[in-house]
Amino acid sequence: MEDRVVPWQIGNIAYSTHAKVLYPPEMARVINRAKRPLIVVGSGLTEKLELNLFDYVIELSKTRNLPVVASGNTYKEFIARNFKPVAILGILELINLIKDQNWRGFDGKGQYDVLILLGIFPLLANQALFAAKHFASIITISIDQHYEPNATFSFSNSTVEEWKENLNELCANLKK
Amino acid sequence: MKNSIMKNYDKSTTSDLLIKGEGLEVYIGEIAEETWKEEKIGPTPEPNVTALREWDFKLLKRYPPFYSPVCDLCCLCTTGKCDLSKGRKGACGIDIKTQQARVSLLTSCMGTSAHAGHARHLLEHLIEKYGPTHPIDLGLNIEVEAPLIRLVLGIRPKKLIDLRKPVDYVEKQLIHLMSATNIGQEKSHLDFESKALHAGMLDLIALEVADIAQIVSLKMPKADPEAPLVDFGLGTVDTSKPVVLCIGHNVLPAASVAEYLEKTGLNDRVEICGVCCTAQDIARINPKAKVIGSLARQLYAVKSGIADVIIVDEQCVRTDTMEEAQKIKSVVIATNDKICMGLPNRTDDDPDKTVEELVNGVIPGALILDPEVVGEVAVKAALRLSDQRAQFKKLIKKEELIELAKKCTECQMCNRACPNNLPVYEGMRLAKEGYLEKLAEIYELCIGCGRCEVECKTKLPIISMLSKAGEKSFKDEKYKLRCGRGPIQDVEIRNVGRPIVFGEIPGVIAFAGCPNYPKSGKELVEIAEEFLKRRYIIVATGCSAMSLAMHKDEEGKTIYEKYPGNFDAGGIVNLGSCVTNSHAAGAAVKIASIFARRPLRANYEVISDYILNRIGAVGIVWGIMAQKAFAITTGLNRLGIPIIFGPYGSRFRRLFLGRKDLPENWEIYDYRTKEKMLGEPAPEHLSCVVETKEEAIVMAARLCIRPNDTAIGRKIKLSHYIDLSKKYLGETPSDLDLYVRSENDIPITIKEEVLQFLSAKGWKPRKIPLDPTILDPAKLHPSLLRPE
Repeated sequence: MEDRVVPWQIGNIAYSTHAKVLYPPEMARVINRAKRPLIVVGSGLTEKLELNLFDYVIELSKTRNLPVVASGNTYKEFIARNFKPVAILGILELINLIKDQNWRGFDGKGQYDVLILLGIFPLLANQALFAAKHFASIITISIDQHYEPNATFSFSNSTVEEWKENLNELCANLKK
Repeated sequence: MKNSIMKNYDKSTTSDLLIKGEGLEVYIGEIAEETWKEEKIGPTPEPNVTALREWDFKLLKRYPPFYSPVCDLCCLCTTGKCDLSKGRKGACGIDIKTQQARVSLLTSCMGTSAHAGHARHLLEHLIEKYGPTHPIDLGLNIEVEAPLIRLVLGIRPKKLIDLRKPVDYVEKQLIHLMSATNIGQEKSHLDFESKALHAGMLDLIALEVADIAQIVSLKMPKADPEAPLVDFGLGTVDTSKPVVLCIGHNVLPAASVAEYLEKTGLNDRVEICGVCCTAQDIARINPKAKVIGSLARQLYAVKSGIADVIIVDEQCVRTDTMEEAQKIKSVVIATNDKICMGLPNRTDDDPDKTVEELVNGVIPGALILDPEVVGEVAVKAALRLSDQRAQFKKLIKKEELIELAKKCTECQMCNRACPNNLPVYEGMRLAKEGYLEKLAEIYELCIGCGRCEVECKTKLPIISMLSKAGEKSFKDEKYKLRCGRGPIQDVEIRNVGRPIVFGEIPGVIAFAGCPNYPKSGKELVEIAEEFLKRRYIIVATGCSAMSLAMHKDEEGKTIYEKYPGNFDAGGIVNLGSCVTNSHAAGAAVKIASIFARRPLRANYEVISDYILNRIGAVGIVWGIMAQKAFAITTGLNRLGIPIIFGPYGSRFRRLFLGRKDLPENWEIYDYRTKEKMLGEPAPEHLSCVVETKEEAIVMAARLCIRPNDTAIGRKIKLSHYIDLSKKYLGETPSDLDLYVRSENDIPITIKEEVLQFLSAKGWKPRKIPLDPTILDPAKLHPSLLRPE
């Protein structure tokens, strides 16, 4: 179990605050309580097409009508699945907006309160979460396969099979 | 006589000359620049740390620093470690944002120091060898020989010795900048960033000195668009011959080897090859030299065992080179005061005695600080060692690889150690069964850091295993690289100045940086080729220029064989090693000076403002590892040139991100009417990070847009921007309305579609500044804009 809550990448340590590991039902509760949640996805989705993560994100989005930001090279794949993300935007550009409390969001209705990340190139996700941790008032949730120390909440390190189970359980626990 | 005098030059003095002879000491004060009467000195000659602060603050207002720390802590003093998370302050009172800015300055200073040290070392040696009055002659087509030195210092160097003043200036400024990073000094993150920008500017000066000095002294190509195509790749090295491998950035020792081979007629008997920028530069001197590849190939080249002698000079040399060399019984010659490696100093010893000690294993390597001695020792040692080392020049056998793979405990630490998350463990599992394809794939993608080997609990030689698995690629690594041509000719600038400034050549895209790409370097080729086909100008330097040569098309041609080497639409220009990044910046400065006739001399703000608003140039730094790359990009930023980093760019903690959703951030003046008006986010960012090549391509097209584009130019730029966005991201860019100033800007072939888009956005035409500037026209004296 100890290995499950250490940063996956060697050396990615020495933080004073670490992400809390949550099981899918607890994570779902955080998202269910959120007023303005937002999903951001990255190139990991196109690299792991065999895992059908695009379909998963669409399903996740539909549970609570969660807006999705397409980062990396993901937008085209969503469109091919008749799903329209709310924006095409780089992850750090997104965090730059999120750290501004006066930003009104993509729909003009106000700043977001929970950011869910999936499939961003790990090193970049780490830096984005670092920036969010220090400079933004937002809860960040990593639902990637490996523990992400700079998020507010993260899954633990897991096998692909365990991870897929976690993802499905998370989706199942979200309010429709 | 001159040489003997210069040998006595006291390097501890700065701008003054001190000549020592027997019983004689003569100081000669700084010689006034009397010869440059055509151009009046501008407002900021030799700017001190705060002289350009106002310009920096203008940039920082538009592009506020965005920080992504790599650690919650500050560990720089003894009272700490201090936790700076959750709004905490350190024992000195610093907060996390200011700490990041402080590290940004430190990083910039580290990079600049490396280049300034390089420039000083090179310059002093060349002055000693060729004399202080050796002319700075960059060929017939170059009159503006040192655009950055002219711009920053306000001087025109004519002889080698004239390059001392710029280096003196850089060194002095660096001391002040570094001092600001000490505890208790600077308090403002913006002032730290202004200082980091200052360091970046100094960096480009150091680079310019280094490359000019070596071009004029070492007979490198002088702005030659048809510089020779040279052999490139590990597979081009003839391992049946004695091999001398040169690693680093300072070409002097490698040049000494080439000179010795020439002098002794051994050119055909000994292979000289190199890794990293020394390789680029030795090929500029001796086109027969083999360029193995970028920094990413360093560990592979050393571990391959092909080198009988490894010469290291400075910068980007792996710290474990000695350890790795000993495993394959190569000897190491360290040649520079920055990297002595704990080796015994044999600079003044009899070269033959040193060779004897090296060949007989009395010493594993030697420190030889006189480049002239290095050549003789290296060649003689390689000739003696080659036969006795034959067994180390072979790859491991396939059966050995499989047996080694069977020892893998499948702990996955290799995967966790890999910065790029490559599936090494999965490759090992398959290799156990004899399937090497996965490991071969990893060889292609590997950035050669060796962290997997360090973490391997069974100490498997993973790099050697990958080399074997990727043997076909390894042996087939035979490409053609157009060797570095040096600066851009003035005549080329005259030809392209107008179309660039008006936007008819849609942009200049410069590839620079290190080879730690998120994926294969092939992506770099794909990005470059997309823009070459669209008639952008492509410029490349350092490791990026080498990576661009590492892929062939179906006809077996590399990008350098397919496209011309001139600075014109559809051309790909390899400027040379890292130091030639100065020429990329210099080309932008020359456009302002030669084409637009903006006074250049010590006129930094006006020239940078010109570049920011008119020259559609952008840098793509797809990999970044060295602090030097951070200094270079920061220097380009101060000149108004935006940079796109690959993911690794986020690890240097600071970006300059614009906010296109805040129109008030883009106010601009029209110098002609003196009117202030709402402008456009062009360029949107001064430095940003993207995750994928698709994002990089679209971002590059966007960042080439400038307020000064004519309607024709803007049409061309927008047609590429829209087309690339649709092709790579799947949609018309959502910010298109921000870049259409009037209907005249809309590309004709898609006018209806764009008008529909604009109508949905509630778009309205807006005023176009005829003479765009972010400088306050009331403070701009006309003489700064037009020669009197």
